[in-house]
Amino acid sequence: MTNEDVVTTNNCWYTYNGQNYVLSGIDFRLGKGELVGMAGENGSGKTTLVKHFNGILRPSKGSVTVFGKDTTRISMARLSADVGYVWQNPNQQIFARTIREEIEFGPRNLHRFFRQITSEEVDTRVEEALEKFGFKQRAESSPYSLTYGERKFLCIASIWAMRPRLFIIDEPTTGVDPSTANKLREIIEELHREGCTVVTISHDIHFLTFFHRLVIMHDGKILLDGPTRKVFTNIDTIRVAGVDRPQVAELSSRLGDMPEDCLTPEEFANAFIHVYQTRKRVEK
Amino acid sequence: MSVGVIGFQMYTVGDSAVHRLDPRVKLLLLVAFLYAISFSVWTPILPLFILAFSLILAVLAGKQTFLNVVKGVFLSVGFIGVFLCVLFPLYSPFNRTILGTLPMIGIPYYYEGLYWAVYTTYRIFALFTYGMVFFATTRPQHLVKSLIDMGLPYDIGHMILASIAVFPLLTEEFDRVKTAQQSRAMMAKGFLERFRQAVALIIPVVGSALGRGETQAWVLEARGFTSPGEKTSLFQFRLRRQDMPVIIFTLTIIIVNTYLLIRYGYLVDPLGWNREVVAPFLLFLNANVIVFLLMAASLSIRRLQKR
Repeated sequence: MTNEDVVTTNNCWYTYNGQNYVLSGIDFRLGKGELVGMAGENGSGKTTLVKHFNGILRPSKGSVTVFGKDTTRISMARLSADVGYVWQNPNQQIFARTIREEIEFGPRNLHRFFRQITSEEVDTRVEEALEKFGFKQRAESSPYSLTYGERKFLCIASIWAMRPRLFIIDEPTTGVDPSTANKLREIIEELHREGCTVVTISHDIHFLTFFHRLVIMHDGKILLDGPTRKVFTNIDTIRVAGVDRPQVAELSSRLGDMPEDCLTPEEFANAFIHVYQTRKRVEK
Repeated sequence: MSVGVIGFQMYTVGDSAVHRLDPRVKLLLLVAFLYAISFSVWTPILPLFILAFSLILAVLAGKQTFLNVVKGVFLSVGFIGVFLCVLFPLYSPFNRTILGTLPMIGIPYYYEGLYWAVYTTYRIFALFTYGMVFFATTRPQHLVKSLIDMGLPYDIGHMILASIAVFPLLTEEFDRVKTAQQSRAMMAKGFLERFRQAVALIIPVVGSALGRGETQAWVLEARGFTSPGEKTSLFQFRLRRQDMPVIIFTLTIIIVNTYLLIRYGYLVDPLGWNREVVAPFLLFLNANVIVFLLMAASLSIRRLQKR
């Protein structure tokens, strides 16, 4: 493990029932400031793996080290100061009477139980989070009055207020419309720009294209791990994992002369124009 | 967690003779035991008989069922026993002989109350053992169906089944919300803090339960739940030959108890047992039962940990 490593898992195995292993000997390293996407079929072990990063789960065999600390020797509450976990279903995270209280919960605990920040700092962070995520005018409203998409933002805001160095966001795009998904993407990019290491699980392949690194999981193992563009060129392996490629990448492959690593419509259009013009020149 | 909920959750899959008995027959036997235990107050033989009978049934039902029965009884009776043993020696209409006084507050506690508490725990223990055998060997769906056959309205039967199905989901939800809070630096320090945090969990869990209930109501309505006409079921129960001995046994218990009740009255020991003589025997028996339960519980926990 180097100083830059945020998470290191060594031969990590995990079982929920003592019989079937959901994770089978995972070796994984996450560097500081990385923007990582995770994909894979349901039950492939994505959520189980990331739940090891903030101590919700402890490995049945092997070890998980987060910011140099063995997760089996540190409480989840203490680890949460460094690792923020945004749950897939916001309704499982939200419980306070008002939006302000919901955001305040985490930082207030950091003050109450660990004396990590002052009470004034808690108030400042809450105000900043309300402002940043657009809840300022509704701070005293019930979180249950928010739409599903807004609740997702509230969950991210409540974790952001704790200023974790590692952000884990579990399936943020599930059940939200494309416009909310785009906003979520902007938020994640902003977190990354602020210096956070971000790990996001998603089934939305289009959403995953902007991550720098992509991890594909299958049957409790990491099948592919590398730069997103490169991972999507492993057509056969991706198929085994039951993950779709971005439509433009698929279209490029089928057109033959096109580069296989197109990830966005813009890239596809540029490549297509380039190929078309080259052909035209050759024909002339 | 109520005893009923523990019971409904403890069905253990199996195909033993006990599992195959008609649920109505097993239910009738439970009623007969309840009747016998309630009215034969001073007869220590009867609970002992029910206890032995129930344990034999549990053994016949299989190893896993036996372990579940022991666990279920321990969970439910343990709490009741402690509660009675604290309360009765202090406040009971039978209290005469002072055993001592409580330090600090100086309230006397009595021999008769302690005896009565231990004896009552023993009776409840015997009854619950059979109750747990009943729940562990009867599918909740079969039990509710048999109740519907005996006159329970279909809607209420469905409500019972829906509640049984929702309960584990709620428990899971409760744990998930608790974990979500702990993952935001929440630590539980001391009883009051834990209590405060548990109360805070009630809002999201109840909210989610209400939402789930409403959705289920719509789903049922969309599939014609309230449509008129007689509802049919996948399970149709008919009394079989192997149910007959249990029915005869049940009727015997009811008749003998009714005779004893009429002949000797409510608070009389028909065998003439002296309760001063019986008390140490019961205390000894209870101590043995508690040790047995502790051993069985620790074995079960170890087994779960190994998994």
